[in-house]
Amino acid sequence: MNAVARVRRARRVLLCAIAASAILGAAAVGVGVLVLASAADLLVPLPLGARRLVLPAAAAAAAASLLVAGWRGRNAWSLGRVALYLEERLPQLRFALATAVEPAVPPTDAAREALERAVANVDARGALLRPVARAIAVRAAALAAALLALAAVPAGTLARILDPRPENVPLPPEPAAAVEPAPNRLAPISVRVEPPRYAGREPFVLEDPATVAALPGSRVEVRGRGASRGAADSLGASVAPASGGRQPRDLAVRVDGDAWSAAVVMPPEPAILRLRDRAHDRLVVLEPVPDEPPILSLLSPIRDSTFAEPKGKLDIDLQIQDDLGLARAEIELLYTSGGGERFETKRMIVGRASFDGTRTGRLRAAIVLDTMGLRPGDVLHIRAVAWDRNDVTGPGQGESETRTIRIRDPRDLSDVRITAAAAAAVDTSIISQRMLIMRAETLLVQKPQLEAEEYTRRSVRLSAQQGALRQRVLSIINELENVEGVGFVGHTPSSLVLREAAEEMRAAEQELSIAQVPVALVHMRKALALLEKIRDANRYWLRGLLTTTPVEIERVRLTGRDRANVGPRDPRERPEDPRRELLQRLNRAIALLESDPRAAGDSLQLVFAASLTEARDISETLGQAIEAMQRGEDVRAALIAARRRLERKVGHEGTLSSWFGMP
Amino acid sequence: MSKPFTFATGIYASGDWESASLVPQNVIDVLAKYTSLELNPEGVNVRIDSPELFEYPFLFITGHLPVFFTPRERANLKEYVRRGGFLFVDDHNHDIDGVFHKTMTAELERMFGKLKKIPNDHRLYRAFFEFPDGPPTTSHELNGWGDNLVHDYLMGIMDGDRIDVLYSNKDYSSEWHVKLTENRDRREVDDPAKIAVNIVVYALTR
Amino acid sequence: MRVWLERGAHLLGIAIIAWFLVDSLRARPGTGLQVVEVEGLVAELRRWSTVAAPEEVHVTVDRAVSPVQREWLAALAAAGTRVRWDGDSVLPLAVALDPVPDPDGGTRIRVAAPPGRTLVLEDDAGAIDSVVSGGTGARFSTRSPLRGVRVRSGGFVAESALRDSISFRRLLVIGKVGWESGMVTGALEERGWQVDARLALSPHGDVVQGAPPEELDPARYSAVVVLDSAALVGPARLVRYVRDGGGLVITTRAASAAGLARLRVGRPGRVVPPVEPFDTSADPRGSLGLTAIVPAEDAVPLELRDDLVAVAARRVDRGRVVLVGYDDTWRWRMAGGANGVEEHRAWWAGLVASVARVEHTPLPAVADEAPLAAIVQLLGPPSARPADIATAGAFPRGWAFAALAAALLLQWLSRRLRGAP
Repeated sequence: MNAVARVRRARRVLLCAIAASAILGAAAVGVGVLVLASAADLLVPLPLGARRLVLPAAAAAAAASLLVAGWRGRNAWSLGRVALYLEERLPQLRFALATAVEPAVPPTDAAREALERAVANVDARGALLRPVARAIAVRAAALAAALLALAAVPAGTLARILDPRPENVPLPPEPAAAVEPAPNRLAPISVRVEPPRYAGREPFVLEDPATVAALPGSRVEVRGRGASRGAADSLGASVAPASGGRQPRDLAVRVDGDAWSAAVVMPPEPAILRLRDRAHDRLVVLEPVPDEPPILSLLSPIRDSTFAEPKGKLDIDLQIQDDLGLARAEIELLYTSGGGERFETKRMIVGRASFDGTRTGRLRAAIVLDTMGLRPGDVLHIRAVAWDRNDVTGPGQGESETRTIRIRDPRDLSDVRITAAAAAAVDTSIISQRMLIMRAETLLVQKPQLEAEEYTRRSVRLSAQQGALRQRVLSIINELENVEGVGFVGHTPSSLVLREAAEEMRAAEQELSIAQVPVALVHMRKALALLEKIRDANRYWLRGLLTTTPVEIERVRLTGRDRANVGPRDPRERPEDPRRELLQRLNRAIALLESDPRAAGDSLQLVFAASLTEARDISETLGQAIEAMQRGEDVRAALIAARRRLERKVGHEGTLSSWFGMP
Repeated sequence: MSKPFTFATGIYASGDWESASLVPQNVIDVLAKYTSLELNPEGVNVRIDSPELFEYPFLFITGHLPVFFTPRERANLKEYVRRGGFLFVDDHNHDIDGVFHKTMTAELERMFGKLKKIPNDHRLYRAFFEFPDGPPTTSHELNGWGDNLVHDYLMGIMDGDRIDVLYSNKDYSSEWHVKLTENRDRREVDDPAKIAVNIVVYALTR
Repeated sequence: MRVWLERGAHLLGIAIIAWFLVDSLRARPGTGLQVVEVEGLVAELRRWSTVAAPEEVHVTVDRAVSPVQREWLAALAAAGTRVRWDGDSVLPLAVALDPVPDPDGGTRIRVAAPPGRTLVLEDDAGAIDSVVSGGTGARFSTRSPLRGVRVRSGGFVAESALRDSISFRRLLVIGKVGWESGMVTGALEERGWQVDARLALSPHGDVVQGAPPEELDPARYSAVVVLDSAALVGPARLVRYVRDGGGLVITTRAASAAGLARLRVGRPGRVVPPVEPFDTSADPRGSLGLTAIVPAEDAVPLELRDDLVAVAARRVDRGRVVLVGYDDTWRWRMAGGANGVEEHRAWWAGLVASVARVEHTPLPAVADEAPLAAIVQLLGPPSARPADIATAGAFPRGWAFAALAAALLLQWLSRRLRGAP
C-alpha cells in the first residue's frame, strides 16, 4: 500500500468517525434539551405555549449540533489535511506523508521510493484509532447519560412535554416514599365458596370475582397474598347489607405467612363485602341464591269434583321435586261437615313419606269414602305439604293445590252439581267437540282444492260424528235427571244447559249433513261454549247461578233516619320508588367513569348489589358491565342500556305539540 | 256515563263463597238510604281468578269452610290489591278457632304479609257514621254463637294507615244476610249495616 | 464558497422579513376581504384580534360554530370589520329544556329541526334516545331530572341547560265520591302532589281533604281537577280562578254544569260506550268509555281516539283548561295491562302538568340552544359566498419564521466558526 492509499484509508475512517460522533452528539443534545425542559416543568410548571416549543427546540438543537459537527469535520474531506493530521500525531514521519500526498514539485523516482519507505516504516493505525474511539465514546456516553436522565423523569411530566395538551395538569414531584408504591394486596384475590352441608354440593373457587353468588349459609372465604409486604393489621374486611340501614360488621382477617384470608357466611339478603388495605379498598357483592321450596303436583285427583254419594275409593297421587333435596312430605285431608252456623272440621294425615335428600319423590294414598261416614253436603279438602332439608334459612315448605271434593246435597235444588262420572263425560265431550270444530275448519280451508262431491262426503261424515257426540251428551243428561239413591228426579240447571248444548249439536248435525259447514260451525262453537260452562259450573258449585235481587234504589234513596258525620279524607303517602333512587345512583356512577374510574367501579358494584333486590331486570347488565370494567373495556354502552331500562321509558315523538306542556 | 258502585262477591274454588247471598242487597240498600252514591241496584258474583275481577274494585269474600286459594286466585287477588282494589273478608263462622279463620288468615298473610289490628280510632270508624268504640257488636256475638267472644277490633293489611284488605271476625255476613221486607224492624237490619256504609265510603275515598 | 453561503443565508433572512412586512401591510383594514371556514376560524380570529383586523370577513359555516366564536365575530363586527357568512348546509337546530311541572320530576325537551333528520339526545353520561324529526321537530320526555342536554344531528349540535327550577302549590280535586275521584286523587298524591279535595257524598256532608277555601286562588292552587260538578261551590269562582292564571282539568261530565260556559273548550259529541271486559291487548284508553269532544275554534286537540277528540285544551285569559272526554279512567288503573297503575298515574300527572301554574326560579345557565338563530341574531342573515377571493390562512407564517431562524443561525454559526466578526 503506497502513501496516498494509506491517507485515503485514513480519510475514510475519519469521515465515518465524524459522522458517528455527530449523530450521537446531536441525539445527546436533543435528549438533553428534553431533560432540561422536563426538569424545569417539574420545578415550575411550564405554560402550554412553552411546552409546545420544547420538541421543536430539541429538534433544532440536535440539528444545530449535527451541523456544527459536520462543519468542524469538513477538513477530513481533504487528503492533504488528513496527511497533516497524521503527521501531527506521528512526528517520525517527518512530513514524508504530506510530501508524498501533495508534493510541491513532482518527485523523482528515487525520492518517491525514499518517501514510501519512510512512510512504510511507521505504523499509523494507533495514531488514528485512539482519537477516533475517544471522540465516539465521549458522545455515546453523553447520549447514555441524557437517556438515563430522561428515564428518570416522571411519566406524567414527560407526557406534558411530549404531548402538550391543555388538559395535562402539572404533577407535583412525587415524594421519595412514593418511588416504590405500596403494593395492593387486594388484587388478585380468590374466593372459596363452601355450600352449606345440607345442599350436598362441592366447594368451588372463584378467581378475582366482583360478585359471589351462593346459597345462603355458604361459607365464603376470601384469600389474598402479600400479607408479609406491609403491616398485617392494615388489612381489614367488613360486611354490610346492600340495602343499607345497618352498620357494617367487621370480619377477622387471618394471616398465615404471606397469605391472608377473611371468611363470612352468605347472608339471606344481598350484601357488600368491603376489603381494605391501607389506602386501597375493594368491594365484592355477596349475592344469595335462594333455595327454592319444594314444588308439588297433585296428579290425582286432577280437579275438584262433586260426588253423588260417598262411595268408592279416591286415589291420591302426588309428585314432588326440589332444587337441592327433599326431607319429607304429607298428604293432608280436611273433612268439614255441618250447616247453617255450625260446622265441624277434622284434619287427618292420609299419607306420609320421608326422602333422604332426593330431588324428586312420589307419594300415593287412597281414601275409602264408604268408611268415612260422610253425609250429603260434606266437603273434603285434599292437599299435600313437603319440606326440603334446608337447615339454614328453612326448611322450605311447598304446598300443592287443594282439591275440593263435595258430597252432593239433594236438598239444594238450585245446585248445578253433577256426578264425578258425568263430569268426566262432559270433559270428554268438550275434547270431542273441539276436535270436530277443528276438522270442520280444516275442511273449509281445503274446500277450494276439493271436488264438490268429496267436500260433501267429508261434511256428511262430520255430521255423523257430531250426531254420535250428541247422543253421549243426551246420556249425561239422562244420568243427571234420574239420580238414584238420593231421591232426586227432574231437571237440574246443569241438565238444562246440557240440553241447550245438545240442541246446538243437533242444528250443527243438520247443517253438516247438507254441507253447510260455515253455518254448522256457528252451532258447534255455541255447543262448545255451553259444555265449558257446565265444566266451570261443576268446579265452582253454584257458580254464578245465584240469583240476585235488585234493590229499588230510588224508593229508598236518602230515607235513612240516623244522623251521620262524614269524616275527612286522609292524604295518601307517596310510595317509595327504589328504581328511581337506583337511577340517580347509576347516573352518578356514569358521571364518574372518566374522572374517577375506581370510584365509578365501586359505585356500580353498590348499585348492582341494590339492584339484586330492587331491580332484577338490570342486574345482569350491571354485572356484565362491572366484569368488563375490570377487564379494562369500555362499559359506557352497557351502563346507558341499564339506565334506559331504569328510566322505563323515554318518551319521544317526532313532532312538536301545538300545546305547550302536554306530556 | 260512569259506572256506578257495584258490590261484588268473590267466587273462589274451595269453600262456600255463596254462604251469605243476601248481603249485597242489604249493603246496597243501606248505602242508598244514606248516601247519594251512584249504585248498581244488584250485586255481582265474580270469580276471583278471572280478569273480570278488576272491573269491581270492591270485593267481598265470606264463607264457613276452609279456604285454599289456587295459584291463579292468589296472583289475581294480589294484583287486585296492588292496583287499588279493596278486599273485605268476613268470617261467616264468627270463630277464631274455626277453619275459615285459620285458613283465610293464612292465605291473606301468605299473599300480603302480616294482618294487623286496626285501631278503633281509625278513619274507617269516622268515614260516615261515628263508631267511637270501633266496630259495632253484632247480634251473633251477643247471642254467644261461634267462639262466644265479642271481637272488639277488625284486622287489616295496612299500607301505613291505609287499609287495603279488611278482615272481620264479626260475622257481618250473618248479620246482613236477612231478607229485605217492607215492614221489618229497622233496628234489625239498619243499625248493624251502618258500618257497611263506613266500609264502602272508606274504600272509595282511601 | 463559505462566504457565498453566508451571504445567501443573509439575503434569505432579509427576504423573509420583507415578506412578513408586506403581509402585515396587506392585512390592514381596507386592504380586502378574508374568507375563512369554521375549521381555521379560531386561528384567524386570534390573528385578526392581535395583528390587524381585515376590512371584511366572510365565514363559510360548514359545521357548528361555538358560542365563543360567534361572540368573537360579533365583537369583530362591532370593531368595524364587516362580517358576513354563508352556510347552505347549516342545520337549523334548536333545543329547549324544561322541567315538567310534575312533583315526580322529569324533563321535557323540545327540538326544532327540519323534517327527516335523525336527532340524538345526549347528556353528559351519553346518548339517551334518538328520533327522526317530523314536520316541525321532535319532543322527548325523560324521567330523570336532566340539568343539560345536547341534541346532535350530523355535525351540528344544539345544547340547552335548565333555566328554571320550579316549585309547586297544592292541587284541588272536586268531584263526587266514587272510584274515579278516589283513584285519580290517589294517583296524583302518589305522584307527589299535595291534594285538597271536596267530594260530594250525601246531604249529611261531603268528604273533604285539607281545607279548600271557597274562593279559589292561583296563589294557593297550581291546578284544579273537576271530575264532577256535584261538589263545585260557585262556578263563577272557578271561572275567575282560571282567568287569573289557574290551571283546570275538567271532564266533559263536569264541564256541562251551568256557569262554566266561559271555560268551554268544546261541546260533547258522540258517546262511545266502554269496552267490557277491558281489552289489555290494545291501547288501554281504547277500552274506556268516551264522550267525544267537538273542540271550540280556539281549542287545541291534544289526544285523538280513532277520529274522535278525547282530550282538548284551550287558553282562557291567563289560565289554561284541559277537557277530558274519557269516563271512568280508574278502569285503566285497575284492569289495564301490567303497567296500568303507573300509566294511569303518569297520564293524569301529564294532564295536570299541561295546565299547572308553577313558581319559576331562574337558574344561571350557559347553553347554545339555537346555534343558527344565534348566528343570525349576531351577524345578520347569511349572504352569498364571494367568488375569486383567496382564502385566508394560506400564508405559511410558521414555516417562513422557521426558515428565517435557520438562515440567521446558519449565518451566525458559519461566521463564528471561521472567526469572522
